[in-house]
Amino acid sequence: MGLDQGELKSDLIAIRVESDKLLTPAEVVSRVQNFVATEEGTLLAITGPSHYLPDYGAGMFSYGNPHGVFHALLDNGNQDILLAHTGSSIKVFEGWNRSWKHLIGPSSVTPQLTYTIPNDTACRYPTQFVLCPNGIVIIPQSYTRAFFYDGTIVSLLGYDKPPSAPSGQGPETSAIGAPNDQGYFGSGAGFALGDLNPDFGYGRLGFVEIYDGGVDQGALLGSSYYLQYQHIDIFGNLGPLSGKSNQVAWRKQRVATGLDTIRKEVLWSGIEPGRDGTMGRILARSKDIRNIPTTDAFIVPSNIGGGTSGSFATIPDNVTRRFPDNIPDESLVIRPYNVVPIPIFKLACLALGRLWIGAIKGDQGLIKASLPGRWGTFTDDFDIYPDPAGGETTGMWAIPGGMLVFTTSSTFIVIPTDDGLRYRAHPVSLSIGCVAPDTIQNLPDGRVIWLGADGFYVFDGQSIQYISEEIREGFKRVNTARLAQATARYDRQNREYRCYLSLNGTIYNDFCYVYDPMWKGWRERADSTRMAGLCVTRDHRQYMLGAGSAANSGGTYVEGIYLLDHSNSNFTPATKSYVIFTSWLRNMVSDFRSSLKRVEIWLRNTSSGTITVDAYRDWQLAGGVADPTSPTITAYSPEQSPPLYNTVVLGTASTYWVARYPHWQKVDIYLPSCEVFKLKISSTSRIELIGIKIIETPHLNSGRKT
Amino acid sequence: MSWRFPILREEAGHICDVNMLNENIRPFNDEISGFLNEHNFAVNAHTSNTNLEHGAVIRIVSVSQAVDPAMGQSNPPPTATPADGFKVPTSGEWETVSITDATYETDDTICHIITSFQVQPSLPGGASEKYGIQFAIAIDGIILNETITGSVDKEIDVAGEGYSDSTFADPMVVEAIEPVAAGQHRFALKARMVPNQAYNQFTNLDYYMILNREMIVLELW
Repeated sequence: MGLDQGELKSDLIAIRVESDKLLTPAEVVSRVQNFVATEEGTLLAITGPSHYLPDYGAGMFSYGNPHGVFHALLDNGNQDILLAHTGSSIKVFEGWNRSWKHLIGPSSVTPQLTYTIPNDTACRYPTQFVLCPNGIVIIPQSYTRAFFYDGTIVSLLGYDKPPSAPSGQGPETSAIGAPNDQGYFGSGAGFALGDLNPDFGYGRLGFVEIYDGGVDQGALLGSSYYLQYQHIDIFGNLGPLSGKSNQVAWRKQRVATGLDTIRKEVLWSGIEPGRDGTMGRILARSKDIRNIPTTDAFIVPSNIGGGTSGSFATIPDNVTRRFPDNIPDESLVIRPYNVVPIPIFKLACLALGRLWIGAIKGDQGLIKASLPGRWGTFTDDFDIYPDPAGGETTGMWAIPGGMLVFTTSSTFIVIPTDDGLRYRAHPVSLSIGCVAPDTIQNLPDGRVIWLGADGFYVFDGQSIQYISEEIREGFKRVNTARLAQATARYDRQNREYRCYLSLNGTIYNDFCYVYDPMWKGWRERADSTRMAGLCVTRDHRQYMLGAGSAANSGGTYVEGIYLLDHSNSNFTPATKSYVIFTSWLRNMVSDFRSSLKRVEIWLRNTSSGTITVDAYRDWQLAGGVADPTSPTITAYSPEQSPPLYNTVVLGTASTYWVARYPHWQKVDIYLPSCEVFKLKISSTSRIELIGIKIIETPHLNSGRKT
Repeated sequence: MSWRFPILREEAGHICDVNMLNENIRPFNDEISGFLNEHNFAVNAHTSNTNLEHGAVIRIVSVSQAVDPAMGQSNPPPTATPADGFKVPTSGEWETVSITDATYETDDTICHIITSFQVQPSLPGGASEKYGIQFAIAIDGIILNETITGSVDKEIDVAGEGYSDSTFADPMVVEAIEPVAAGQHRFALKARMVPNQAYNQFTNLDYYMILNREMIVLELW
């Protein structure tokens, strides 16, 4: 197009990201709302969301308050698991039933595991899920027991209480001169206290001394034993050791013959079954504490042969309460783990081969590491307080060779000690922390990104950088009281980091900041969706799913599990506004005036909708100052009308699928004698924007002193 | 893999975009390239094996031997040693029960091995439990410890080392679910005679017969 005298035309301004700054280059605009950057370098209007489980005619599934969603592949990628915490229950998706099954929840929903979990809209972290090699750790928020789900069985994670102490019976002495003559000792028929079944054979417990005078003469020494035990569940998690039993002791007993038959057996009872999911009990017995210089307990093998069945536990069941013990001291070799009750915690992270837990109830600055492979079994051996000031742990994230640990105002890295036996923490920053654990993600360039109290930060392995300087002004609108509930994931399909958080005082995460690592800048989504939790499927689909609600075409928010960036005929979302505000153009040369004459909008044919262009002048967002006020153009080239879905007639020459091609359209819009001006390009239809050009007439010598 | 969705719902006014058409079709092309799983099939979608190629979901291998135990022929029952029965030797060593033994090639998968059989002592109906017997499942000759009947520990098993039976043609089942690596594997039912609680010496008149017996191996996916 030709230019009139004095007119200047800008180069094509390719818009990608936004900034709140007053003075920015023209290609960095002040708002890019509801667009994604395409592979070809354009901005395309977002679409969706749609329900992951559509209404197939029986009505929409009733979800309730959304709290989180998680996808995983278990069993070497063969089992596809989608979990959602909505309402009062945690659900697992059953595609074959076109429904969800209640996994954990109150009895009213007939779940697989009955347990009451929090369900309200208070500010909490989203429900945390941690993928382990053999299952998923589920941590509803906040401060409730954690669960473990292996794709089939769901159970509480670990044991939070030691079992009650057992009691023991053994030989007793009725009178001086008649040692060990009653109690659980003798020979006879039946299986009862006071008698032993002769089929049990000879005892193996105790020590004998041989007298010099006779071949078979000697004495049984006095001995004393105690027992402890711990539960083991189907996932291999161990419980704390019970208290010690009463000591079973017997007195010295001389015999003139039958020295090999004089040793004893004992009976342990009160060995309580564990909670559901318990597979066995591991008994730990002392050796003879009167004659062996240790009072430690050792694991009792299930039989002296080393265990032909159920070798994972002394008692490989969850029923038996008694154990007749004839395991000799020499078979006691292995000490049991000194397991502590699993605490209540809010956060977990799989790193360095262990499950680390943090934000522990009553000890918020402590992090603990599980035993390797036993994700719900904790000892005191790996306790760390990363923050010497005792700040509450607000995030943990595995990085190569270590783990990042955050408080709200500090960041630490946990690495193994030089000897590899322990772990230590050292600070990365004592001023920058994380406020929302569900926002920590890896970027494709290897950096870790998260939400801090005043914006977003990245860690590149060496240091922390602040990356949200460009949106600091807009960040003032964030509801900081609800930052903790923010949720974010990196979308591999569109290659952008999305963080949903609460804006303008709402209680929902109804606004999304989008960080584009390719263009190193920000965009935003405000598409009438509220996402309480996000996940990206760990399969070839790489779907981004959200637990939340979305407004339908009538403006009513519908709760559900949503598939973002996809649309289908089962759900019509509320109309979106696709908006681009340019920066204040000419901001660097505003000391002389210019008149805006025209704008060229570079588009790709997309739909039959329209695009509205508004113009503002001189740092003021007052409308109606341009002439014409709000001109519109079509979202496709009017010079060569493309075939439109549901419009073209089958069988005619124009009925064909086309590759959408770029074009530009002129918009005559006049703003006389401005210092600066700003454009708003908006539509409610699907559009794809390539860039803009500005045609203006600068008034270099307008008579004004400069 | 589970559910797939088109990216863009075509609506009135959208341009008939060939690229988006391809984008919408591609997910379904991906699925039929081998990513279908249990989420893609409705419950009871396949009610007949004729709808499935053999081995498509589970593969079943079974071997069996029918034996006439001569039940009801006399009272007390005969001390039979039918021709097709398997006589467990008194050597005390694990022996493979004939017929309940199969070798075939599996994928890297989980196998459900089910053995069911009748066992009968040489003096069925006798008053005392004179000798014991143990059974176990073996894969590639390796006994699965968890499948051994009985405990082998005399001190904590009042019945002696193993199961002791005086019943006529007593039915039993031993089964296991076990992961196996891809390759050829031999699945077998094993048995051995073990002492009773008194450790009595075996005589030539002491034996157990395995009568009707079957082994089924389900290769799960």
